[in-house]
Amino acid sequence: MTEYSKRALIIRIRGMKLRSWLLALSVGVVVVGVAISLLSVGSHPTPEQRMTRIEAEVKCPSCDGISSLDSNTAGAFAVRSFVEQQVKAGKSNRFIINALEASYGPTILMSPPASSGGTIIAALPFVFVAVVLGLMGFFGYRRRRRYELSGPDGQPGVEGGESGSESEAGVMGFLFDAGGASGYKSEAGSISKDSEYSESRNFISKPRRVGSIRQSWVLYLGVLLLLGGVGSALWIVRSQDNLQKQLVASAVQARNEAQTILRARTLANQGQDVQALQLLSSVLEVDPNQPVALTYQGWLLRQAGEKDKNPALINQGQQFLEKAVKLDPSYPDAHVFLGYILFQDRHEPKLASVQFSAFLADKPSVSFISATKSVMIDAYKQAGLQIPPQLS
Amino acid sequence: MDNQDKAGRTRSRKTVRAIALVVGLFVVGLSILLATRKPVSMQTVASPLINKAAPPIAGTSLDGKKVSLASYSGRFVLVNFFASWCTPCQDEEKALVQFSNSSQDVSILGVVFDDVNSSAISFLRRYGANYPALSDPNGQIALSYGVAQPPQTYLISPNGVILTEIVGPVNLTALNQLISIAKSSGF
Repeated sequence: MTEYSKRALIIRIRGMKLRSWLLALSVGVVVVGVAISLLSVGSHPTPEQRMTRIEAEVKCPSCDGISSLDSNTAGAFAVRSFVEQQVKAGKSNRFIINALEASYGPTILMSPPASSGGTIIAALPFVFVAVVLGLMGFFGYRRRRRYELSGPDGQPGVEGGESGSESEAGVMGFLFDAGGASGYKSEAGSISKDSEYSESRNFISKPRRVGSIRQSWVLYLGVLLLLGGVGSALWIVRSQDNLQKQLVASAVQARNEAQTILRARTLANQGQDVQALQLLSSVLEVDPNQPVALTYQGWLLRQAGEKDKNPALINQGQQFLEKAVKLDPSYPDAHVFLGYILFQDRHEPKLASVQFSAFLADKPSVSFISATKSVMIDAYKQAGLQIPPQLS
Repeated sequence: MDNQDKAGRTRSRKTVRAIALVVGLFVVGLSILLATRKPVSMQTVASPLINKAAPPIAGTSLDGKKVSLASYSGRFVLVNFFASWCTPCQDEEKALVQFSNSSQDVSILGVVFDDVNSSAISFLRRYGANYPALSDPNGQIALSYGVAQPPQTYLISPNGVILTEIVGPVNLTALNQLISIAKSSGF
């Protein structure tokens, strides 16, 4: 073995060692990343966190693309109530979601499982990568074979003197195979069938300086990209997890409040005003500025004052409603209830009309308008104002 | 030698072009596929409950009587989810009342959807409906039937299997045809 061949062999071995280290490092990074991700999702959620997570996964049945967690429609409340019952009964998340899917089909889920078409689309990138890798392997194999068949014979390509073709061959050589760069050159050199095997023995000792340098740079770049990609993926996973935790924490309170208010409204509908007031008070103890609770507390107090002919209760009710209007001017229920008090109890049709106009501007449901229509029309008439088109 | 070099370079360029073409075709194909595909969330599917046992319904009717779906065993039942505020429900109510009065072997069971009982009672009275209707305060009956918006109606066979789901208002002709088909199918 000549001195030159020895040097080339050393360079080659160093390159292989470097590649092995880089490969081991990449595998290590991926393993650590997977372990961190698994540890971060392995904690046991509380029942309330489970409810919130399920509600976030399930659509509000009457909405388009809004989760049951984020919606305040009757359908969303029904889903929440169902989820709560099932979680309390000890059912698993999968069981609860399956039960809802059994009624509504997979479209009830915020992220429905992929259809067969979706699976094909999801598989396409992998198929594509496999095809490209296959092509690269094929071309690499072909080039190596050609390289092995060609002799160095002091061919100019091997020594690396023609920079233009080397540049292309260096990158392509890395993509296709380790021996690509010089293979490209050798391909251009003379191919001697007779010396095929003896020359292929010298394959390892072929000088590949230019190709090796280019390959190394591309390799470094590849490893950097891989590490960057894994790092970004981990960062995204972690940040999403943190965001999810924050959402869960804030949503748990909102969900509990919403459930309690729903129960209170149901009780009020059934004429159980005292129990409804107790529930609303419990919400207001935790959050004194909850506009829906303030509104219904105010309205129930007013109703109680009407029944008992107790002006103090009506006053209290009005105060609650005024606070609710101040806190959330876009909540129509507060406006209409306050309007009722101003018109029927305070005999202030003009002030009441202001509230009714605000109520109509907030686009309430048709049923709510029709239920309150006659009182509103009377108020507008007594105030000498034009009746809004929604009421005619 | 130069010729061989050139030939090699040309071959390499051809390879690069071939790969670029494959990548380009893939990207274009995928873009077309994604652009023309209907999102899953917009696809309408038939109720998964069809041909399955009807979820149980039990409770107190708006006039205070105990009602359950099981008590209708041996008869066709139309379970109709409705609300007084829902305009299509108002459109179909006349047909439902006519159907209820004319049909001997089909019962109608109304279920109130997101409505106050007093409004539902006056709604049914207005149209002269004399079939029972249940309140569903927490929406759990609607949830078990996969109801998203009223009106939604389910035809249940005498042996308690859901035969069909009607989304939107029903009309008398369609209801009569439906029952005829169900009967001729051996139910």
